[in-house]
Amino acid sequence: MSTDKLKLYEERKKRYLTALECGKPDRVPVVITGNEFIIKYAGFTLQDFYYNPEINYIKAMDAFLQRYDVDAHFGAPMLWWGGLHDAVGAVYLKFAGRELDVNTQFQYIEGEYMQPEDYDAFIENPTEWIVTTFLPRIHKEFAEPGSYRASIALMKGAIARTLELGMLAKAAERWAKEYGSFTAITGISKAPFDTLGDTLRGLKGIMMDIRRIPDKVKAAMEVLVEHNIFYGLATAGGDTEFPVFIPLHRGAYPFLNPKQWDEFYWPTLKKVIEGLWAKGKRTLFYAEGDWTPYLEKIAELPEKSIVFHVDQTDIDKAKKILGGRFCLKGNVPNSLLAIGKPDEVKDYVKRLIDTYAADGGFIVDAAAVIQADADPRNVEAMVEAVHLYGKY
Amino acid sequence: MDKELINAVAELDEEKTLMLVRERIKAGVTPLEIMEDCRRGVEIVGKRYNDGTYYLSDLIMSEEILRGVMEILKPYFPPKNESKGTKIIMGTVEGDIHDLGKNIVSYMLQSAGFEVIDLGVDVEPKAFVDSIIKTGARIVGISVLLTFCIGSVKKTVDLIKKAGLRDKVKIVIGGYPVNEKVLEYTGADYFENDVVKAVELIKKIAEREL
Repeated sequence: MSTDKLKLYEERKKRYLTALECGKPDRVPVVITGNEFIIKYAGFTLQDFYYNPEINYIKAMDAFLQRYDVDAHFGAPMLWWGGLHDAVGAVYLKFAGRELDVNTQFQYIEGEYMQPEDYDAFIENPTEWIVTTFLPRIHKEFAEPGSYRASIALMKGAIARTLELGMLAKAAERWAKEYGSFTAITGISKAPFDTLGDTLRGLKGIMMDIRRIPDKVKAAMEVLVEHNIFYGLATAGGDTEFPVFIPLHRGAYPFLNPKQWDEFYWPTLKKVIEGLWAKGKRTLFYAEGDWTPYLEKIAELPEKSIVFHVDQTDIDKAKKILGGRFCLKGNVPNSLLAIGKPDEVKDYVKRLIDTYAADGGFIVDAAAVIQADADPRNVEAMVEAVHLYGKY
Repeated sequence: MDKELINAVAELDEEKTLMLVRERIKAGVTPLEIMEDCRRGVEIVGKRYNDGTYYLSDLIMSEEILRGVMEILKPYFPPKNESKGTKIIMGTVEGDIHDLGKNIVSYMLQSAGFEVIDLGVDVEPKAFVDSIIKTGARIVGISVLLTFCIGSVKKTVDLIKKAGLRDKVKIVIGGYPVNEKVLEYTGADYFENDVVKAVELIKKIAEREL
């Protein structure tokens, strides 16, 4: 790494980590959760990107990092490599250029891929159940476990995943070397309720289960606690310097009533976050939607164990209840980035910094993951405004 | 009025509701009377959601209970049960496949006596236009969850305009990303993010503006 890039890397890292610790760095950090925006900005169709990441991932991030002076980023959306999912015949995803228009974002088809009667087998041995029952249900190529076809698919999937991780590692090296840049997170995990409610039972399924078979839901979530702690650390390769990304879904207001939230959502999520923290791993509490009614509960987590991401949560209340305890991050509205004017974006960021960042522990980011609809001039205005108004 | 049944629905007691419905049918109560009591129960559910007692999980449960009731009642309904309520077209916009909000609003509108023409998800602009022409509905509800599909809402409104139907219909947009700015951008008439408030809004439009 050249000395000036190394210097930039160290400066940015110090700025970012200081904010995570609720401290006051030299300037408010700005982080961009760019995803599909990055692809569009670089001039690729989504199909180009999802299907040729080995070429386009690097190119897209190059274009993005050359223009935007951000302190940290989230990389481009590598979870959605179309070739990998096609190789195993995923039935729960639709991709640009296949089922969808070349420029339509991938879509997840929610379903009750796990049935209520699967709970016992899941609780008994989740991994075995996933391999023998769940994967065959959601992948055409695994439909007959142990068959020739399924064995080949398993190899193809594993090879593709290894290639993908190799690409990511190479990309990270390149970002550091060429741009003095890094990803804001290492590793990913979930709230046990979301593991069940997003992927396995689906929204409607889980909402029925908490009324009809509450004990099974609780037992399944308890089984998931250790798994989700392990998964967060394993996907981070053991890193504890940067936070693990936990995108939070069904705990947002108004999905669950307060009693259900206290009883079903919170206890196991708290255990996961505390378990990770006990191993030195901070959580990026990516609170999608509105979490205002639960702020008091969230404040009970160990000091600095999370970074609280503000989407539609009342930011005044978040600052009042969580400020000083946890770093806050957010919340430039995505609709403003899509259909607003650069001056409006600048005003919004200035107000954000003036009102909430004065005593440190604050990071500017979009309210939610930035999609292909964002106007590059608005994203630029967001970054510029932080450089302009964010100095301490 | 069957208070026991109304309360069972309002309390989201699935087992009791289904048991009562079976009993009433056996005792000769007409399916229409039973539906009317269930509707009253759902109205209470809506009120409780509005005042913050009930949450989305409760609305979803209520929808599931009603689905169970309808299954029991189906064989007893006369073959053609033509609704005479105000027509409303509902659909999730092109490019978006999220249907939770749309389904709950549709279900609550049906309970409130509307005739809902549900076009489903990922609905092309042209399908909205065709449906307006075919059904003569004068309210259109467009649901959107993904922010990057807001452009498709605008496309739909524009096509309705181009077809010369814009002043014949009121367009209500709903969903997570909609706000004043999105309303202005898309050229729709009203927006709402809250399902129960959306039902209230649509009722008001039906009463005052049609």
